[in-house]
Amino acid sequence: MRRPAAASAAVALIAAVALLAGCAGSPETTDGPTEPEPGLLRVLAGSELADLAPILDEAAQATGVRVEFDFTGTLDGAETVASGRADTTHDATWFSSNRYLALQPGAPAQMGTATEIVSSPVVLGLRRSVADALGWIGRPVTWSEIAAAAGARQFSYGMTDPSASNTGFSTVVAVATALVGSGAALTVEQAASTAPALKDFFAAQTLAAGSSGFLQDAHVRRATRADPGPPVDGLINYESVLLGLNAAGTLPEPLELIYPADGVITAEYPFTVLAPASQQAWDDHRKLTGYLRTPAVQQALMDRTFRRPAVPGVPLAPVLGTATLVELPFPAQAEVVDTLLTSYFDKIRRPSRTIYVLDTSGSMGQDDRIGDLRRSVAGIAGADPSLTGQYRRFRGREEVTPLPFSTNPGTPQTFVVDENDPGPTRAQIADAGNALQADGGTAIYDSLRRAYDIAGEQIATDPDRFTSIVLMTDGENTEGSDVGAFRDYAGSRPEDLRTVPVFTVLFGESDNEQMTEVATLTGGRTFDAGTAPLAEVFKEIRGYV
Amino acid sequence: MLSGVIALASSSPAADRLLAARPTPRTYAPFSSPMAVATFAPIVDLLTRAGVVAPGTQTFDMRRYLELAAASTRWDQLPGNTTFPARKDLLVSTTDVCRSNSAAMYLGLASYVANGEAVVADPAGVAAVTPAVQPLFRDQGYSPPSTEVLFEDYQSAGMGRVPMALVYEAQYLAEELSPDPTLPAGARLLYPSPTVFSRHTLVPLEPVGDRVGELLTTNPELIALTAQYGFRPTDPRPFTEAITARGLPAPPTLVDVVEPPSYDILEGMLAGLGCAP
Repeated sequence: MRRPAAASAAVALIAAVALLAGCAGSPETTDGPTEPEPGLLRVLAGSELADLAPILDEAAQATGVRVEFDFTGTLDGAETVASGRADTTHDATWFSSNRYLALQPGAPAQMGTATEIVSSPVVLGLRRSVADALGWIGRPVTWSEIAAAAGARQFSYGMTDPSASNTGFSTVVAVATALVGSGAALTVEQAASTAPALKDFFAAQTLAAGSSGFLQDAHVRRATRADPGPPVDGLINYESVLLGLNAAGTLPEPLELIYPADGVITAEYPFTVLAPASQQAWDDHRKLTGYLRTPAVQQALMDRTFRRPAVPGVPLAPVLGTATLVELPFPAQAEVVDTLLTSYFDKIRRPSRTIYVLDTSGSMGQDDRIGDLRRSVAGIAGADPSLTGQYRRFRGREEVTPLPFSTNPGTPQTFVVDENDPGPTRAQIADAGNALQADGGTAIYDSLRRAYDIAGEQIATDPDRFTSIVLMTDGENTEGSDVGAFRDYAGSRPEDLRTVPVFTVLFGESDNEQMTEVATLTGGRTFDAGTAPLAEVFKEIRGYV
Repeated sequence: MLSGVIALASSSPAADRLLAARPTPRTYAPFSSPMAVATFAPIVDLLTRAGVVAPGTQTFDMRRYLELAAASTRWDQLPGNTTFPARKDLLVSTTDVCRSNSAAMYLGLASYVANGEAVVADPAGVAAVTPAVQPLFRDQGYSPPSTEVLFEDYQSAGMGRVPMALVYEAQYLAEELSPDPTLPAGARLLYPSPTVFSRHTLVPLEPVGDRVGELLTTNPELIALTAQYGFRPTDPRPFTEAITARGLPAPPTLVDVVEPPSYDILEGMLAGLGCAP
């Protein structure tokens, strides 16, 4: 199975390019459940494993066992497995970590043999010139120093949403454990801490994303000035992803990897057969993981994807460094993790400002679309009881402005969610959603312009927030200015509005081409409510704002 | 329902449980392995200076270790520690105590020391030692589900992830004795004092199971084979031969050995640690 070195370098390059092109990013799903078949493992997985495709193709040739990935987020995946819903449609899971999953009631009983394949720590990659200016090259740097520099805005960085992706989640755990922990796994009291150092660290985050792939993409687009927003200095991600970015050479300046001396959280990629899976699936799992853990394949995984070998006796490549990486303790109590995430979202992270531009034209009266919209707003206002729903609700301190529109932009109503008692404000937002009525024409671009004006006024009053616009329409523009006018506006937006992305929802008869253009012009992305329920789409967008 | 010819329990409390479900006139304990701490040379130096390891020996003093652990001592608080100044508690890494025998053996050991050098034997004893032993597990945070995974983490991820791993002596020795050993640079093995033996107990379920038990206990070739895998057969000689034949120093004779608590008491302690029955 050994291939010539040149060919292997080429494959690595193609994989890296594919990653940059965003292939690894947007979650893909298979078209409905696949029937079980011998030699096929149906695997619920984290999307960051997409870059393993070439190695898995070779594995299929060598072992006769193919893998079909069904990508999902960290919390969604944990919920699917714990509920037992994964059993009927999947044979195995392969997430970057089982640590969160194992805390869910019912999950351990669903999990069979978990075989670690590779590992990669979550670290901070920083533009070399910025790392150099901070004096962070060639010496140990602690989380406290990083938090202090972040608090003084000496650098900026991007990170994924911890309810959507393991890298953001690991970062929240690592930072809290290092900054408020005592040296042991966090306690509930420590997890509830709102210490200034924590707020300092997260204050420097200027780029957010609901998926790892989108985050990398957005970072590269900003760095290469393909996106209107200013470049971001750093990126929190797996060591493997950051080294892959450097190797691909698409960034104008390479990233220096900062491995905090007081510890990291490492993903260990356990390929886990589901306990109720068939004997055939258990056998296939054993065959495939056995192959992936042979020294030659472990070497290939390291050379081609920059992940660390799990099997002893494969020496680390020099690019992976020689420093001793201290592993921080990961809390083993669900209550600690839940407290930590709630505190992060409601009290610690940079607060968000979101303007919801919502189509209430006459066509929304068809097929109970308006009812769908009301329920979707209610869902993210707290009615969604799912695990992800808990962390995707309107958060403490968040500023939310629904702007309904039809023939003209309607009346905006702004709510600021109470930090200590978010319930009542969320209820008011749900009420506002419930009051939406379908009637009139569709003035998309006048309303979008109005949203930017509102954002401008709000930013002038209170600049230190993540500001985004969500645009939901079920049809084509029928009134007022057109997409051309918006295109002109987008290119000439004032400085403080250039970082405000529009996340567009494809729904009903919306003009997908125009919605995609609006998202691309502003650094946002589209979400398809044609293939997923509107409420799910509204929830997914929450990971980006 | 138990089915098959034999059942193999990895410790005597686990065998108690098997026997309760399936009484049988005779059981076999063909080999055993003491619990040990796989670590690294720089850690041994630090532990020696902290009084946990007796200078020049492989003895890991459980009483001194529990004192440091009770005070939540961090590595970076050890005086003069420049080799491993991690801002992390000095704790032996174990497997998930709710799911794995090796951690349960360690619980037996720690509870013995915490109970004033006596095997915990009643519910009052369980209640008395729980506060002392709980932090040893809880403060580690997430721990791996099996001893194989823990030992592999020790081997491949190094000192930063697993400075001290609670393993079976046999795991470490099997690696040393293998044709192609893969122990990390500076690997060292320490023996807790007191320690506890995990006695792999064979419970015959069918008459032919007795034959298997007999063979494992008496057949010289099978006994030599178990020694090659790092286990201690009842007769110490084949074990010592397997080690010295490879030019390795003979493992110390362990004198301070305690018995694990009974199955019921162990279950009581696990419940006290929050494990579901």
